[in-house]
Amino acid sequence: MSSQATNPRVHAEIPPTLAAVVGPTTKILAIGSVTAKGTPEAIVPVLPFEVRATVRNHLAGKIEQWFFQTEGYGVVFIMNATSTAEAHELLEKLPLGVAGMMDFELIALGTMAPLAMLIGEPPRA
Amino acid sequence: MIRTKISDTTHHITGSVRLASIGAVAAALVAISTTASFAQASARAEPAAASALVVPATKLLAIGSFTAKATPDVWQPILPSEVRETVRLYLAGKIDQWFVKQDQSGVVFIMNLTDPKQAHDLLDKLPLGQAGLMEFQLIPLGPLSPLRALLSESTR
Repeated sequence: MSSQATNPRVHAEIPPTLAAVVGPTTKILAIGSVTAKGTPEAIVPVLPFEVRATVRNHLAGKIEQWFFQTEGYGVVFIMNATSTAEAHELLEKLPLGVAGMMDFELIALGTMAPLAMLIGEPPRA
Repeated sequence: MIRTKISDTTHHITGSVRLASIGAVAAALVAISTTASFAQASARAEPAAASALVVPATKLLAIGSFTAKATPDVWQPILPSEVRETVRLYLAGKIDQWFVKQDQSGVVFIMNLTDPKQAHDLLDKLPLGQAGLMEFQLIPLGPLSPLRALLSESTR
């Protein structure tokens, strides 16, 4: 997916008034799903390489947390990246990404900024 | 498309759609484990790993998104109580990690729960949920099961 793709989960037009409750981007949530090209026959020979490349990204500190989706075939990563573009660049180089067999939805995450309200720093309206 | 609407119902639909593909994937992993079994056959007898991909759910990914009626003038007065209730869920050990989505569309939690229904019950009781201003999509997570491929190969 393009790093500039819009988040399909956005339901509402959110005006920029929320800027005050958004901190810096600290992580990228990456939700990986197998594409139509990713048939079992196609994936099987690639999977050992995919696993190794994923472990390398983990050891390099890029993929901080990794999970498997237990109700479907896919993965969820929490990545140490500060932009979806940075995460996209890493993920598209994974073997399944190169082969067009896995797509990632990328969601930029930041710190829980609304907590600032508890320390007397309410967001500006 | 399936993920664009978030509700209990959608969670179940999503689950069904995904289950439709998991059969194929299980077949793929069985193929992998079968190969591994052949490689190891003379070394030691292991039961056929038909459950090659199966891992237990250990966490829930909860993606909260503002609903269409959640305009800032509506949710801003509710935010202080939302923050407090969220902290209470954290202190109760239910929310493991919390983040804000930088596109300002909502939040992301990783929860110490494995039952989506239980998570929905908790999250829907948050002030924004009660007001119908935020909906959560829940994705059960488990250990990264493809790592098993490394175990099989290490025996070669």
